[in-house]
Amino acid sequence: MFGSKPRRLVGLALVLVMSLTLLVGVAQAQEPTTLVIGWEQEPPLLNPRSDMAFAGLMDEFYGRGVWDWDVNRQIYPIMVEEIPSPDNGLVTTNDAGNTVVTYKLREGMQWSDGEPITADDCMFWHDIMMDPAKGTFQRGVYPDVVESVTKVDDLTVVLAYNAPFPDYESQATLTCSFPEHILGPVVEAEGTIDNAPYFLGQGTVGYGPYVLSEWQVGSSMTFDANPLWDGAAPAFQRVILRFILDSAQMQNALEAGEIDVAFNFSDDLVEGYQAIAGSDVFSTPGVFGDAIWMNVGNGGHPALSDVNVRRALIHAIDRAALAEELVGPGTEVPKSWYAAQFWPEDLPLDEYDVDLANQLLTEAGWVDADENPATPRVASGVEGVTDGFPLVLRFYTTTRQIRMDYQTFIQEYLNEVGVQTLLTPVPANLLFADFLENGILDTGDFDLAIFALSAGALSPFANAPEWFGCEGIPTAEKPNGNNGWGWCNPEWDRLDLEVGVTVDPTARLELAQEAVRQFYSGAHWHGLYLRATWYAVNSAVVNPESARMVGTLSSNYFNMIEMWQPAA
Amino acid sequence: MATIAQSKPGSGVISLEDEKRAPESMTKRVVKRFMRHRMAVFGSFLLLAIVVYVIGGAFFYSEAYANDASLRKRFEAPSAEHPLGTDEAGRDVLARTIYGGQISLAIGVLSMMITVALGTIVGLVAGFYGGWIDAILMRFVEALLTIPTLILLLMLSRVLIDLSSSTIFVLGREISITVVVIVLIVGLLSWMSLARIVRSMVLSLKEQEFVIAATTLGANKVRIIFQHILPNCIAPILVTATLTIGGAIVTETALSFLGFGVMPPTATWGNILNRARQDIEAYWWLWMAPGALITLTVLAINFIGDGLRDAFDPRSRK
Amino acid sequence: MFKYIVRRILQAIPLVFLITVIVFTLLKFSGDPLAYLAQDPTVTEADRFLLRAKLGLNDPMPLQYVHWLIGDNWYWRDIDGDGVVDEPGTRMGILRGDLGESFRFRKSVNDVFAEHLPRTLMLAGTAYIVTVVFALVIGVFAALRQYTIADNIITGFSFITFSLPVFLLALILVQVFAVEARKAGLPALPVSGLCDPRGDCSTDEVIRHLILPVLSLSLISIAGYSRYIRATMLEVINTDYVRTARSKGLSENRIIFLHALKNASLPLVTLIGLDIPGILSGAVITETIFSWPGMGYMFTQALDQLDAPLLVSFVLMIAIAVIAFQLLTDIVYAWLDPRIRYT
Repeated sequence: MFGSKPRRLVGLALVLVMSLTLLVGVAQAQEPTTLVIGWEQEPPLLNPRSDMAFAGLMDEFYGRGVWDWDVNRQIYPIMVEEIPSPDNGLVTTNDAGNTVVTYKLREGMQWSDGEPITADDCMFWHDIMMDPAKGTFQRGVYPDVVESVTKVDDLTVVLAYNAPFPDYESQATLTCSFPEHILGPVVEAEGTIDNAPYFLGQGTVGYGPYVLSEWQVGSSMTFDANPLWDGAAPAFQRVILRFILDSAQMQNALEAGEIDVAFNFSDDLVEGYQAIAGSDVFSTPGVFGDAIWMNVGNGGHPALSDVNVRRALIHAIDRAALAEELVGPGTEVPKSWYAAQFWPEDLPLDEYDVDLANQLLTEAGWVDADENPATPRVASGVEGVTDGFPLVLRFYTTTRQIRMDYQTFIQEYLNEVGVQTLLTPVPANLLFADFLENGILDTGDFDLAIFALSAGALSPFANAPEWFGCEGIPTAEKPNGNNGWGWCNPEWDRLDLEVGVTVDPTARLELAQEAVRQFYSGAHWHGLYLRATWYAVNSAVVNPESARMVGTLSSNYFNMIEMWQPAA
Repeated sequence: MATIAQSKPGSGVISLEDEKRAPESMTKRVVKRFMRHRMAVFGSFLLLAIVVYVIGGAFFYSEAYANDASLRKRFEAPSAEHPLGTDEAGRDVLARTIYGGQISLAIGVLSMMITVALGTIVGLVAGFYGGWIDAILMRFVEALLTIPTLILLLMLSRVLIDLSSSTIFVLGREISITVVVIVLIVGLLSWMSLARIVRSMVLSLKEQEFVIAATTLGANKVRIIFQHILPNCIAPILVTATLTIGGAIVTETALSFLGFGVMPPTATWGNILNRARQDIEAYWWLWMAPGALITLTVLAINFIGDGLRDAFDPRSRK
Repeated sequence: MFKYIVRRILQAIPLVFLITVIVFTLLKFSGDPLAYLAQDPTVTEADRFLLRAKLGLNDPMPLQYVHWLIGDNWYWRDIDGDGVVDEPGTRMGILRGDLGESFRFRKSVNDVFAEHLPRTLMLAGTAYIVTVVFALVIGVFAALRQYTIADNIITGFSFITFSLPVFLLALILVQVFAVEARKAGLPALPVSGLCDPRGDCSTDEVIRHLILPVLSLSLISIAGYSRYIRATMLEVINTDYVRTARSKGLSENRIIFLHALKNASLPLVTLIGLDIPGILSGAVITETIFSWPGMGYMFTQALDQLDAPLLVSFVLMIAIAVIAFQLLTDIVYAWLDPRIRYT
């Protein structure tokens, strides 16, 4: 029964080889008005509220919001006639002293299926935000701070906050980007928009320069120019998002012309991208970045409860040199978690100073008893610590390459001053797991850690009691907080609350600067670098100058995509 | 049940006639046959050279030197000072392949020990006692063999990394706990086919006259196992042991790629290699040395395994 | 025979459930599936609680397994954490044909499989066929020319590819055939993906995209298979039966292809039967490198977010396939070799 098969199999093998070799030669055609963007992680859903990393990206193509910020961080209107402000009378204070904002929608806007965009769409969105049962996604502070939303006419909506709310531009803003005529019936029928085929790319409509025409799960998304878009017409008729999982392959794909734009790649790959012939590499300044977090009072090493030891450790590390070498020339070391415009002018940065570090450590009672630099310092007369207790710190980070590189060098620097560290890179979801899931940070089971937590780029209101407030320290009774480093400063808590409700800009900035000072005095957070957003474009396809028009808020990467021009 | 002796690659069947005729000269004959296998001899020398490299190298480069990070020397191409260049932390790649090689080989040898111990014990117990013990053990073996190994490896490493996230000290060296994790998962997931082979050998040996004779004479069961049955299982055990060492080294490399490998600062060939993958053209010196070392080691081990198999079983597979 | 099949299937059922329980327990000890949300301060703890409640993650662990098994549409949950139950679940459970909802892909596991399985079959299936065909040719050739220079070269080469780390081989192939070839102005192969989304996904395009991943998968496994075929061929060639055929003066081709290969193919059938289900699990590393969104890619994505419903169903599917193919192999084997009887 296998008699004549082998010969046939051999023949088949030969045919296969030959056909494969022939196909190699087929060259590929490329449409000039198509732009292919590489993206590492495919989103599970198109719902911009369920996947923040992807949110900005989707919004820029077909889900433009009411307003946005340009490359210079200047706000500009999109769906509204003008940006509400006290000057044009669209921001007022009601009898209770709370902020009220009027949204005046532009006339004639249409969804990509031709339906008009009206106040009903905004009302629908508000309705979903206020009722958790109607959809599972990230609501932020919206339900907590919004009192009511009223429709005045088809194009006018009034939003009243339940307190003075100076951050109405950047936080808890009304959005009108869910088409009520499509999703409304879904809520009627199912009670929730969670399972709407709309978010799986079926019958998706939007308001933006492009419409989604095809989503090949795992492979790519294709966007075509939206003829009903009333903004600037995009020069590229088609934009394709291509999912490439491997960072090395992303680089190869750009080099081979399979993609035209790679972006948001990590800093250590910049040189590789610059080396690609014809590529133009640029970046937008970072909004947030990695920092060393010290476990101040939640079961960390006893030495870390002393602010002078924390200062000493940071004086021992040449953060400027690390940023220069590991991230790139000209990288700044941030002085505070807060965005730079809220820093007081005299905010110091703990400079690299080994002598000072040694002196501070010795003064704090951590001494080099045996005068052997290879062994760690030990406690000597430190209150509450047995003499001879060694200064060895558990040092965690995630498996991201640049963080592990940082860890390696910081270990070297700390060794110089007699502080030993045990390096442990772990998967991110182990580091950040909830208290009840035994997350390393939440349970305080660490001494030092490197990771990033984004701060508001536009507002000084930290609004993060879970992360920095005394209330946020997780315990078995209150497992919900994220303040695993146990930093508790009631004065900061009070200031932050006040920043949140102070409308007068000058008074607000003063309060904010005081909050920044308080934050700095804790010495529990030490910035390493601000993570720039990198772009590499193929200058044979895109005019690199036009491509430099991008958003700089780390979530609006392509908010000027319609202005991008093909290469001459 | 099907009663076919499934001969998959990796099984070797010992010739009982040889054993009964002249037990003393058996080893000699195996060695002689092994020495005639040119590739196996070449493999042995190759492996010896690699072992000399990773152990002897330690006398020329200290561990402190291998871990000495230098901010100004990152990613330097090979030079007189650094014959194999430097890595992402400015450390000497030559020194790191020496110390990384120690860990890689240790992973291979330690997981081999677990594999051999588990496979032999389970196989012996199942084969010798039979009955429900056999049924339970073999169902468990089947369950593990049913899921693809890489899938099990990844899931298990995900769990174990979670359970233990710290550093351990071995012989004064600071070693990432992930080394232990990898030894455990590789060891725990590669004993199943050995257990099956040993079991089937025990089943056939149990019916041999000398075992039956010993049993009827009232010999102790443990004694029978160790004196009569175990020596006869040496062939498959040796072959599996050899191949498991190579398999563990390859597995560690694959896990490094998927982010579940040995974590820095502990070096292994796998994670040095993996660091180079972001740009194999620009950082060619980062992957060439560890890549060659991994390939040569596995190659040598496969040659040796092949030679052993042929030496134990001269009739076929040659 | 029939009785044998029925008994094997009955034996397999507890085995399959043992496997799912093991995997489910492993996953539940692996950390927090929603930890990826923790770095984003706009996600409040309340949001996370809500999401966990909706996904059923707040239920006790054994109950989660029960839900996966028989569904949760009878189980009322407290979604907002106020102590009052709000709504029942929506899943039907695996015993009612619903594999659950994937956390990572946010849709039913049935749909996720339907999307990814064909792609894996395309890649791993092609690679497997290429492997077996080449291994047969090489193995038979090497066996007939035992200890010649050609045999030694083939053996040496197959040992080397066999020993290379998969991802290194794949990246070298990409560097040479996609990047360097293009720089040198030669016809180049695509770097990754299913096809170029700029064009239409024609068959030609897909085949071009298949070449490198198939090559990196096959190069490594051809070695093992051809060694195996070479060994079994040698074994058969040296049997009395082939010697008799030779002495009877039959032509060498007839002996090799009709008699020797037929007998050598018996163990090969076993090997293939046992390996085919492994194809379903996809090639994790190759799929990741080439962004080939098949089962291996799906698995790593799911593992990243500890997507229990997807992972358990995935392992279950493979386990069933393995058992089915074992049974099939036994049947084929009995059919090929009438000496074997099953009781």
